[in-house]
Amino acid sequence: MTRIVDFCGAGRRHYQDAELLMNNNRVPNAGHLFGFAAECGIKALLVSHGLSTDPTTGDLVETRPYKYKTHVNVLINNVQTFSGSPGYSKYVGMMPNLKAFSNWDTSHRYYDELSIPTSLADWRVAAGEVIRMLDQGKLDGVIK
Amino acid sequence: MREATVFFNDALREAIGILLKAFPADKIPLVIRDIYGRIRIAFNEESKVLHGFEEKLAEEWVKLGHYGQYEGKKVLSKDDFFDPSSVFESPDILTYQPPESEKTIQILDRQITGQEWTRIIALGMATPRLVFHGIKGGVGRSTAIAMLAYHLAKKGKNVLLIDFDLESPGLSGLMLPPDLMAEFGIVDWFVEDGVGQGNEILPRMLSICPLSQAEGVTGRILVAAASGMNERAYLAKLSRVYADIPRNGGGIERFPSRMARLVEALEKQESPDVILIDSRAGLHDLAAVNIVGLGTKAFLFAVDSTQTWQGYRLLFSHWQFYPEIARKVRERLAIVDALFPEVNQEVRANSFLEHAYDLFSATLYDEIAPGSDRLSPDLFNYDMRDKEAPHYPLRIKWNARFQEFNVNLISEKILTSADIESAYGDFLSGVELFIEGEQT
Repeated sequence: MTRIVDFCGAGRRHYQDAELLMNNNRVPNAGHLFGFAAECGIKALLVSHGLSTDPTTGDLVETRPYKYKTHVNVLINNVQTFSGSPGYSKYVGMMPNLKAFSNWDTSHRYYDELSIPTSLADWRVAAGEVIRMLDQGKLDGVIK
Repeated sequence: MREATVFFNDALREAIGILLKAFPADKIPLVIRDIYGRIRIAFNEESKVLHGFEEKLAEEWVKLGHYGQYEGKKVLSKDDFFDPSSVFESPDILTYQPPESEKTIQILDRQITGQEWTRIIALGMATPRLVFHGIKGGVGRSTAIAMLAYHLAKKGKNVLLIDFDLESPGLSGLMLPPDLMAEFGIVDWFVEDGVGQGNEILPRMLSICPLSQAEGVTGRILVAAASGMNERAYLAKLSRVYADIPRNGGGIERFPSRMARLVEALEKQESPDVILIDSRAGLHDLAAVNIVGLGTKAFLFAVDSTQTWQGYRLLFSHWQFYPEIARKVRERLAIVDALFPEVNQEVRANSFLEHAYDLFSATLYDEIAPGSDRLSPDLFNYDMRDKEAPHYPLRIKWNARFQEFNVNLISEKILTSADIESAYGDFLSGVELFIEGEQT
C-alpha cells in the first residue's frame, strides 16, 4: 500500500485518541499521543508555509541535522525561527503554550509509569491549541 | 467553448446565485471565503447528513472558475473541524447583502488584514472618545485636534489626547516641546505589555501639554504620545506593536483588544472628561480599530477633491455589504471640511456639501421607497441641507497662520482667540455639541 502522509489528519486523529485514553484514565499514553498530535499539527503548518515535502508521499524532505523532522520537544524550539511569511506568525501566535512540551520525550514509551512527568494537563492545553490552529488555517485556505 | 474567466469582483455574487437556487432560503449554508478569495460552504451538520452535496455542488461550482477550485472538499461539515463552534459561532460571521439584492447570506470572510473594518468592540466606558481620521493625510487633522484640546481645556475640561497614528506620529511634536515628553510612549506600552509589564509604564507615559498653563485654561491637556523622550528604537518597537499575545488563562489576545485595554487603563488612571484620538490616515487596520472599535464618534477629515471622495467611497461601500455593521457605524460618523477656502466660498461650500451628500446617500443612507416623498422616522436618511445630517460638514477655514502651528504660538499670543474662532469656530462648536449630547 502506498505510504501517504497527512499531517493535518494525523494530528487530529492522535488528539482524539489521546482524549479517549485520558477519559479512560490511561494517562501515560494519553500524554504520549498529545505530543504526537502537536508534532503533526505543527508539521502541517510548516508544510503549508513552504517546508519541503516528497511529492509522492507528502513526508518531510530534510537532510541531517534535522530541525523539523523531529519530535515535538525539539520541534517547538525551531517553530519560532522558521522563516515563514507574516501570515505564518499569525498561526504561531495561536499556540502560546508550546513550551509545555519541553519535558515531553518520545522515550517515555519505555519508561516506568511513575517516571513520566505529570504534565498531562499542560500537554493537553498545548496540543489543543495546535489542533485549533489547524481549523483556522483550514478556514483561511492555507492548510489543506 | 471556453468559459469566461471569473474575477474576484464576480465570484461571490456568482456563488450566492448558485446557493440561492440550490437551497431554500432558510437552509442557505455559511459561505466561507478564504484569504485567496476562494469560496466554500459549510453546514453546521454532521457529514453523514450531507451525503451527495459535494457532487451536487461540483457541477455548479465550476462557474466560479479559479475561485471555486479546491483540491479538497467544497462542502464542509462540523466533522471537518476540531472545534466547530470556532467556525459556526465565530463573531466574524456577517450578514452580507449583495448589491441590488434583497437577499442576504451569512459569510465568514477570512482576510489577512482589514477585518477590523467590520468588528465592533463593546467597551464599558462612559467617557466620550472622539476619533479624528482622514482618508488622506496632510489636511490639518493634528492641528485641529490641538485646537480642540485647547478649546475644551479653556472650558475647564480635562482632555486626554492619544496619538494612535503610530506609523506617522505627529501629535506630540505639535503639543509638546521635546524636553517635556514623557519617558515612555504608546509603542513602549505595547512592547512591555507583551511581556506582562505594561502596567508599570502606564503612569510614566503621559505628558502635560504646556497649553494647560496658558492664560484662561482651567482644564488640563494630557498627551499619550506615540514615542517617549529620546526614543531611539521606535521602529524596533513599532514592528512588534501589532502582535497578538498569550492571554492570561489561555488563548490569545488580539491587537485591537489590547488597544482597547490601553485606552481603558488610561481612562481609569486619569479620569478625563473627553478622549481625543488621532487616528492613522487611510484604510489601515489601525484606523479601522479607531473608527469602528474605539470611537464613540469619528470625525472624517475631507477636502473637496476626487481622490478624497473616491477614498471614502471605497470604505463606505465595504460597509454597505454588511447591513448590521453599516447601521451601527453610520450613526457615529461626521464629516469635516478640513480646508475650507478663503475665496469663492459659496460655490465651494455647495460643491463640498453635494459631494458629501452623494457619498452618504449612495452608500450608508437608507433608500427611500420609489413614489414616497416623505422621510420615515425609521429610515436613516437626511435632506442634503439638513444640518443635523452626518454628511453636513463641520467647517475649518484655511488660514496661513495655522500652517506651521505649534503650542508656543498660543502662549506667546501670536495666535489669538479671534484667529482660532475665525478658522475653527464652526468645527469647535460642532464637536462640543456632540460631546454635550453624549454626556446627557
